[in-house]
Amino acid sequence: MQISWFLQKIQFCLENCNLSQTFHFSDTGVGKSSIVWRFVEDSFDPNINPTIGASFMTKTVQYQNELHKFLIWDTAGQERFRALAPMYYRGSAAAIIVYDITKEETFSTLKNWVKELRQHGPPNIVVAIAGNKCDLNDVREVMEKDAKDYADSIHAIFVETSAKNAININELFIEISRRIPSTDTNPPSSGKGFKLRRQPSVTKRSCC
Amino acid sequence: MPLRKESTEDDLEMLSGSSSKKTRSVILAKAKNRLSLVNLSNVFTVFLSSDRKLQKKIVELAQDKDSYFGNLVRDYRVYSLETMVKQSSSTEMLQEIRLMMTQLKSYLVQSTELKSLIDPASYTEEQLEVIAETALYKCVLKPLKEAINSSLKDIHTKDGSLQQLKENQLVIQNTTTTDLGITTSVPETVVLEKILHKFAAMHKTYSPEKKIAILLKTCKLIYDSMAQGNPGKPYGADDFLPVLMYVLARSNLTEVLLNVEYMMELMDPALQLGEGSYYLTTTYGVLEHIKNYDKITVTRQLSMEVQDSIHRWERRRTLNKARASRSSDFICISFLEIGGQSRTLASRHDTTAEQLSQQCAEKFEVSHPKDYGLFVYVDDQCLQLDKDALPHHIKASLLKSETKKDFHFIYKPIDHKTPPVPIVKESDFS
Repeated sequence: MQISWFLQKIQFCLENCNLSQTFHFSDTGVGKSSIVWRFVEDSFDPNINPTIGASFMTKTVQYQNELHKFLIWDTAGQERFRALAPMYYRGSAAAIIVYDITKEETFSTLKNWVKELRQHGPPNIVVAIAGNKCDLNDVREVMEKDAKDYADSIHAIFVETSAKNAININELFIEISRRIPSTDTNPPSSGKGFKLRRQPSVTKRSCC
Repeated sequence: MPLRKESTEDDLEMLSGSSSKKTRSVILAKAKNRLSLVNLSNVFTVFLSSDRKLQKKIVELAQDKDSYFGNLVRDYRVYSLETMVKQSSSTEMLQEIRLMMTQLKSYLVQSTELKSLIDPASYTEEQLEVIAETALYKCVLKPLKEAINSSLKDIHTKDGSLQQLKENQLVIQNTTTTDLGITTSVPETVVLEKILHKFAAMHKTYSPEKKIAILLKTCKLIYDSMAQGNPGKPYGADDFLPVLMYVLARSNLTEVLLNVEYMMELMDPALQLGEGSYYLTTTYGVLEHIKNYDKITVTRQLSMEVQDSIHRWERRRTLNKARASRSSDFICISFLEIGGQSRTLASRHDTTAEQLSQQCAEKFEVSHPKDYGLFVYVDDQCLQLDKDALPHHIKASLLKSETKKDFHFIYKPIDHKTPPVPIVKESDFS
């Protein structure tokens, strides 16, 4: 089986609602770091994640005959750092926007992120919407159907996840793998295997 | 591997640097750590040493006045020093330097000069490029580093960035961690000192890659201190950015700014992706944030400014890659006489004498360009260049000639009275 390696850069962003700036120690965010952490942690290769912090992580996923390497760039969601977001999503192949199903306002800010991405992001960016904390169904504020309808209307991937119970996390990334334009744009360099130092970026850049 | 190697060196530095203050157990732990690194790198010693040898040979070639590459490198350095002081934009200045490094590299990798140093079959072009890149850091960036830094400082003094950073640095130092948005521990004094020590080391080194390696180590130190008291919790960008801001506000911001720009613009464009890129982007972002800290209201204005600057960065990098494939070359031309005022000009390989004369007319601010022409003195013989002659080819041929020739390109008035000066068009001086 021919396995080709190439890079995909994944944008990972989220809006923490303003309320979250009341600085509790936990349970303030919508749990995006946990999602990536869970995704990376469940790796079959123990050496896979030598990164220095959870802001930037990598993971390789097998999709059909290809191995997809995700470079996951985390973006600070606080309003105060909002101006920096374009630095992160430019050049990204996909963006995962996470909201908290138990906090209605995080779903509203998600819509703002989508708007911004559509206006200023790369034209072909794959957008995925993840409603996190689906293990907390009894305190749910955002209906699954509403979120799904919204996602469909903007042609985004939609899942409800639970970083706590590892629900749908892998599925999310597999679906992203499926939607990202594949090796056609980047023929595998046969016989060279995985080049650590010089990988061509397959990301399509916006030129606006 | 270079990363691994560097950490060994760095640990060595730290051991010899401040060992007196360390307790024995710390030293033991360090030594143990070092030993394990040594074991790891031993495996690659053979591989490393042949690369290192080639790197050394390239550096020697660059210092060899009789080699074509050596001439290129020298002309390039002169040219950079000349143009650097005139630049008003830091990115343009650094881009110019990066562009020429890329050109030097692409010349070198294809050159017969390099092929005579190695068995071409034992390296792929990519491997050669990596080795050439590191060699160029040493023979180009090392001698230029001080000049680059002082030019950058001038530029940012003029554009007010340094002042802005300085003012906001104080504001942020006096802001509580809660108001900065920090929800984790921050580095304790000892760790903070260690981080500042790393920043100082970063400022000292001339290699953009090494600087990035050090940046990553400081980020690691920051993460470690964030996890104090709450180990195992994954901290993402929401947690990291405010702490990075806290740390940067306690550092030498001028140096950090210069280093970030140096890394962003001078690192090999082929090495864009990865962790280094992420933390460099983040550090740049936090610096912008600090610079505009006082203005942070809910304006979109700031947002557009920052967006724009990073967008330009990406565009430039793409542009740079495209431009690099068009190779150009340098030629040193004196005005009026040998040893007179001289300029090193960059132009394409296929530039004609006529085109180069036009460049000279601008550089030397000549009022009647029609009265001037391009000449070459070869061993005291003066030859005028035909308007269609190719100066770069003539230069190459002179450098390659079997008997070493002393030659100078001169831009001076065409003299019609004296016995006519021979005109040269072809470039055969062998």
